[in-house]
Amino acid sequence: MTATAVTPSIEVSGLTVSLLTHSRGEVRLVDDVSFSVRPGAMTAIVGESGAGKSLTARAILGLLDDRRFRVSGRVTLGGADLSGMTARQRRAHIARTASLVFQNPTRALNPTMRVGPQITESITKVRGGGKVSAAQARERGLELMRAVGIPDPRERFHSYPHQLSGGMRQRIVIAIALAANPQVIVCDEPTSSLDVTTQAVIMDLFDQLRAERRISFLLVTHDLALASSRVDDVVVLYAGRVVEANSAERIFRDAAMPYTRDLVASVPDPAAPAALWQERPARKAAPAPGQGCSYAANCAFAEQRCRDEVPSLLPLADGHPCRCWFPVTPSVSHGPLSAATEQGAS
Amino acid sequence: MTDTPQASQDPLLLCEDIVQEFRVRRRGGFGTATVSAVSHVSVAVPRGQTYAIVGETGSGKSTFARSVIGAPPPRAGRVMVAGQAISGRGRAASRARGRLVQMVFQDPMSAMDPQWTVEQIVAEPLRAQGREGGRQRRARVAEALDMVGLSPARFAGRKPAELSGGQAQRVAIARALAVRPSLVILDEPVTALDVSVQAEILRLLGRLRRELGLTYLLISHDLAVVRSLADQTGTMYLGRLCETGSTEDVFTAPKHPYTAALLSSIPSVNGRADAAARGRIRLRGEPPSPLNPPSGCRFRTRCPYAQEICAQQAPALAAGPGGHAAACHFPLAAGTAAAAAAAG
Repeated sequence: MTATAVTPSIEVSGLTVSLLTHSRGEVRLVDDVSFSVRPGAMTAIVGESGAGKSLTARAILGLLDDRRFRVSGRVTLGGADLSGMTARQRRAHIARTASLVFQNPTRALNPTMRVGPQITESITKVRGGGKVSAAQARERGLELMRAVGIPDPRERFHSYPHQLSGGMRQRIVIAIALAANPQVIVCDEPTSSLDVTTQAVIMDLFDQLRAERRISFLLVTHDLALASSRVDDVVVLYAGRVVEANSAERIFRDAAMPYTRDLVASVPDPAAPAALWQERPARKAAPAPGQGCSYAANCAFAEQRCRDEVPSLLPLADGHPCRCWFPVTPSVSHGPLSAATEQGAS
Repeated sequence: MTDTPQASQDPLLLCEDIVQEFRVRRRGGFGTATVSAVSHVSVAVPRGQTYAIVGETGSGKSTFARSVIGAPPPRAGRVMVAGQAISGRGRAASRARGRLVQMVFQDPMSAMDPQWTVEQIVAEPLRAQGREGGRQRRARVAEALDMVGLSPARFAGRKPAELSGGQAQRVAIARALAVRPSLVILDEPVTALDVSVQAEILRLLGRLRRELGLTYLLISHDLAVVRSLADQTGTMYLGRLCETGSTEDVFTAPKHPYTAALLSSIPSVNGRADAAARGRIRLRGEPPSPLNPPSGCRFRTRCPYAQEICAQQAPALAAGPGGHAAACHFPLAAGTAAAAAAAG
């Protein structure tokens, strides 16, 4: 997955996030998550609610309150390691290199402020106030509005958020994200509140930004279909751990971890509607991390070992990492024990 | 119309020429403007079947569904359920509506009073109907919870905050089923849920339809959900029905350019290869304002095939074989959608 020639824009290794509680001590919500994103590439983190995908994204951007969360592991943004920096340096570096696009554009925008000033605000704030004149900021704001495909930017500049459609609002949020000229944009469910037609247009805009500005995207989503059709790499998160990672074309076709397979099976496929009606046993909640594989309670292939020991994230025969004692390997015929257990033992 | 039930081959839900309009204050000016939210929509759904309405935000699909349950009743047109007219504004029509039609909303959490217990929530429509005493109501609530796969003993006393998303949606379904309605309106029933939970709820809805002989009116923008659940599908654009027909026909051989565009923008788990094979039609611009809809065909401003006649004449919903109808002057022939995408 990691290209050695280019420095990845985002590199996360061993990221662990724990919630500090009074009653139960530290509760580990994200456990040893590692992945990287090349410049101009898009990686999706997929998983269900509670899998820790938003938490991972927020931890990368240093947005978690350190009174409530303990974050460990190494995060590199735009080639600079954040762990060696002071809190102040880290904030400044993240503001310069990364932006966040939220799920709900209506909530992300200030309803009492015209959209133009909301864009120019982030231009003047991030650049350090005095260096950019109001007129320059306005020019750049209009340019950004054109870049994200807003027709009539001069007129729209003075609109309030409620006067724009959902797709237009999300474009404004993206324009704000672009204001700091970031190398990385983290999108938390950027299109979930939009129509499919608008979603397609916003994803096209991301493709364009990747090609033209070499911006890397980290897409947090629960929409597997969106992930597999529009990104380069997919990381599947379950109960705070990466359970499988692969390129988008192969992640679902060559899914080796039973969870990934079950997840794919639960997506209604417009081409094969009948597949959905197969009854499946109801799912049990994932146990706290630490006692065996988190998916063991729901896994059709689980054995005693799965309940006792946490499997490691190890590459399979075709090279893609998977966290499972008995991975299903369709491409290497049905010999689930051969490759995986040797690696597991070593 | 009399209130006598009609023969079973008649459609369970019959909507004729539904019109819904709202008066709004003109922006920055005097006087009022009329938003034409639903314009002359007719739909017939046989008993035990599911009719899905798909469309973008602002297409009027939810407004249409709401006019069926009378929230508010349509400005013009008639709604018949099981042979009874329920579109009136009178007390009798409102009673009949509550008995025959129930609705399941998108976000189960915000559709429930956080202070109430599950038992109170599910019993509420029964109380509103006022037909039974407390003990019978309790039994009906337990029965409804059983039907949706929740143990009454464990869940009846809980508050909404103690439920997971899937459980909350099950409670919402139980509430809709408690009065044993004939028609259930599902407004984005799984949009707020995780995929694995979505599948569970869809299977539950499928099973209930089979076991209780329910008829569904499904409102959704998730086309995969529609494909799995609906027998018939209609697409709406700016308050008008563009295309209607069996789900199979509409999905595999769309006739209306809008339907084709909508279908081509769904991502698929089969990834890029699949998208490339189907071709993609990008719609230009944004939907026009329903305050001032375009003349003639309302889709013409974004349609790649629009000609002069489209601006002059509103196309009628012309039925083809198998009840597959499209309101378009230049309907697509089977298989042209992909070719058109390559060209456009």
